[in-house]
Amino acid sequence: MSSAAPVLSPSALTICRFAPGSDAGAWLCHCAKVAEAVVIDAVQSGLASTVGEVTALTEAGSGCRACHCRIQRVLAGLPAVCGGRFDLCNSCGCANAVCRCAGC
Amino acid sequence: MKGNPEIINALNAGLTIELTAINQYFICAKMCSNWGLNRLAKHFYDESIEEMKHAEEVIDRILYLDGVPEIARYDKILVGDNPEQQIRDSHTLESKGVATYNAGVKACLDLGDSGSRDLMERMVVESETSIDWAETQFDLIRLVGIEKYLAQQIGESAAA
Repeated sequence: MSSAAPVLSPSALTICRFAPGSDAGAWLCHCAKVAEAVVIDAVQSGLASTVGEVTALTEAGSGCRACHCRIQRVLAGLPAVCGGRFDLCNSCGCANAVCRCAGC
Repeated sequence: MKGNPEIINALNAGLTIELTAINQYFICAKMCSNWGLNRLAKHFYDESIEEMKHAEEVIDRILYLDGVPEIARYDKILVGDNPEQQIRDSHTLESKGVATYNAGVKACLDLGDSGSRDLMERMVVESETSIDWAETQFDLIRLVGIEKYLAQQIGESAAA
């Protein structure tokens, strides 16, 4: 299963006040560079129902373990991040508390 | 001690900037050294080490709160191809750090975490000091011109 690379929105590059922004918020697993969509596919396919199975299938969670909580949220049918003030914007990589991208 | 998840997220947002800054300052130091700008290279090198100490403090705090440090998450590492751009890039990153830690301080006040607030307030001041340095360099470049400014940055080589 390939890790589809998140694309940094061109609009984020011009809108972000800390331009040129980054894709820091776009990966579910930063160690293995696995996007949330890949983990969702693994779970919805029925091939993975635990963090260990997701890791075996996608490599997400195989590094520093910081994303295990996000994998658990996907396993529970929730978005990987809870949308709090300090989740990072998918477009520019800023914490939501300081992000001024459209839609944030 | 179990910490509030939002405070741990705030600390991790700061950690992402610290880890990015370690690398960004380090490559700037090496490039400036390669260009023979030894004085500027030393400044960037010292900043890189300082960011590592900040990252250590933030990681220690996250672990104390029973969180997991986001050790693999980075912002875009900006590698300016000339010294003035490198200073501008560091100004951008430090400004992002101030905004992020200030938001973190507000969250700490909301959630009653004085220990994390103390740490993040110190990080704000450290980043503001770096911003002040960068803005002073912009003033100097405007006042004396880039050639004279860079002549002052040659300094003495590390081996001397």
